[in-house]
Amino acid sequence: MAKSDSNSTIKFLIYILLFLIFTLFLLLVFIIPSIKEYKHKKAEYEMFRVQNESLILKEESIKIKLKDSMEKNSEILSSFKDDFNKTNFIEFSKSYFRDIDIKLDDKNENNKNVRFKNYSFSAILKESTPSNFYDFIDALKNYKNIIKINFPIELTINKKGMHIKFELSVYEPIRNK
Amino acid sequence: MYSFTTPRKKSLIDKITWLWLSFIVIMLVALSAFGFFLKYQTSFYEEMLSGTKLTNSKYSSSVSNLDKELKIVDMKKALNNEVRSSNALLKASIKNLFDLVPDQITLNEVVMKKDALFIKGFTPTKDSYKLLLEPPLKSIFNESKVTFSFNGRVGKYQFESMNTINELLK
Repeated sequence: MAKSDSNSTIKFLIYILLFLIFTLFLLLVFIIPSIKEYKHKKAEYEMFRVQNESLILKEESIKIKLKDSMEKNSEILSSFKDDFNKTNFIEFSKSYFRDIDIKLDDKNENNKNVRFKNYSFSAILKESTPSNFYDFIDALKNYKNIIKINFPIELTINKKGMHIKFELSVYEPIRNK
Repeated sequence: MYSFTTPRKKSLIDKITWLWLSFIVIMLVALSAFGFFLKYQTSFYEEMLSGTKLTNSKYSSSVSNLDKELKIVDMKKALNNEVRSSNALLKASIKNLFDLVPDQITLNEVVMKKDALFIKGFTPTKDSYKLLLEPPLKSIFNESKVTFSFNGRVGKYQFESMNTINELLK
């Protein structure tokens, strides 16, 4: 009877030991690394997901800002798109001057990437006072191109009237040909 | 051979051993199932992650493009304002110059540069020029030189005045 009892105790201990060995082996070799990898991937995914959400929000806010800014400055933006048309500009200038002559400066030809092109402008003012010139400067604000008047400005009185000569810088968009 | 008892059937593995073995096997199966479930979940997150990384890079480039566009709009706006204010300043400069000239003095030629002004005209007397036009010119320019020559045909003095702003004296 006593021998049988001691046999079953040994058996029990062997089974317990076997159970623990298998369980520990599976846990150490398979389960724990899997948990680690799972946690790592999940955390990485969560990080990118949050980043993604913030990027979506950022994109939306910039889109709204851009749309708003483009709507507010639509006139300005269109003036950067239009090509400069000399004939149209002469027609526009005729309200203030006569005998108009516009010439593209030769120095522009050397640099095709320059966005501002210089023109020399000479004309006779319609009246013998500079008020037409002031009105011309004011009207340039609403002209379809960006035009800057540069120094030097030469005003001379001759038989024809008040002659004016100055340089214009006209913004012209670069077209990729 | 006779026996008082009939022989019992004795199996190779006893009940307790069966119980333990099945317990160990169940545990192995359960743990393996859990492990495979984790592997499956990991690969699911891996797939999601690669998708999210792709959309992230798409949104990042979109954000940087939109940012660039916004900057270009701002630059164009600033450039337009700069041109407008430069033209307005130029207009004010010319207006100011003509406001300086008194009625007695008439101008025939004006050459206005960024840092210099040349004026040519008629004045009834040298003093009229020196009293009425020279002081305001001298208050604006560092150097002001004038030459007079009497024009008998008009009966007035013709003057040529060269005024400069010396950057070093500014």
